[in-house]
Amino acid sequence: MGEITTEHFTWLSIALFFLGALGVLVRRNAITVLMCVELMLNAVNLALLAYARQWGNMEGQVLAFFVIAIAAVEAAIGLAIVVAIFRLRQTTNLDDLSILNE
Amino acid sequence: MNPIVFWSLALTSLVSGAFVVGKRSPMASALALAICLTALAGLFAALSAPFLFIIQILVYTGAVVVLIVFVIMLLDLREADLRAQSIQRGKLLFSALVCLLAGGLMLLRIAGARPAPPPAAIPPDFGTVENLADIVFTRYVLPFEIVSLILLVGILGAVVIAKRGE
Repeated sequence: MGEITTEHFTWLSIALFFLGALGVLVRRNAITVLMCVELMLNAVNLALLAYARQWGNMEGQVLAFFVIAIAAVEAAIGLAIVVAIFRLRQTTNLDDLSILNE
Repeated sequence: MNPIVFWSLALTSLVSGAFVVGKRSPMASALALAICLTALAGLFAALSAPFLFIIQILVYTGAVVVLIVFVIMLLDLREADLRAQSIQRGKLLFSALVCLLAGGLMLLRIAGARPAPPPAAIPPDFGTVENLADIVFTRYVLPFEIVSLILLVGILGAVVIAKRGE
């Protein structure tokens, strides 16, 4: 297992990002899709922090800090929308929500 | 950084991440997400980001996952509703192919790049609250204010959207 370098963190970040992307593509439950988006955002944060350390530059950490703040807002709004839709339609299945393409 | 720590945290985050994507029940996904985010917080600490390590645990596992669990329990999803959401095999295959292709292209691009220089010398206060605040409240003060405005709009928006319409 040799030395752990920035590349290792980048690989892990790519793997987690596309794992989340796969979830967004295949899952049809709105809440699960939101969780997969959170997974993707965290993968990006990992890459930001790895490169902030690589270059000894704090700006990557500042950006990750902003990403976490925006991700929290995204989760709150997204879940509020899911609750509102569930109240109207009694479903969280994204395939049932196709008013805009009918 | 200790390779054993890295590989165990990386494996934990990948396996629990796979559970987030693969579990049929949203509640199981949410709990796997909590584990995944905590493992990532450990990696943040290993990357000399102690402030973001705390923020990750407080905001993500503390607030976002709890909010998700709250909503799942609030909605009371029926078994039939979940069964209708099972994944078709063709769609899964195609999506996995697209993700593998895009991820493979990224890996190829990184592997082809010049080897990265060894990490620059890290000052001992790198990633501490003081260090981060120095930059956030000087060079990034305008983005910081905009983020606070977005947070405010987000709070109001969540209340307005989730409120029972008359």
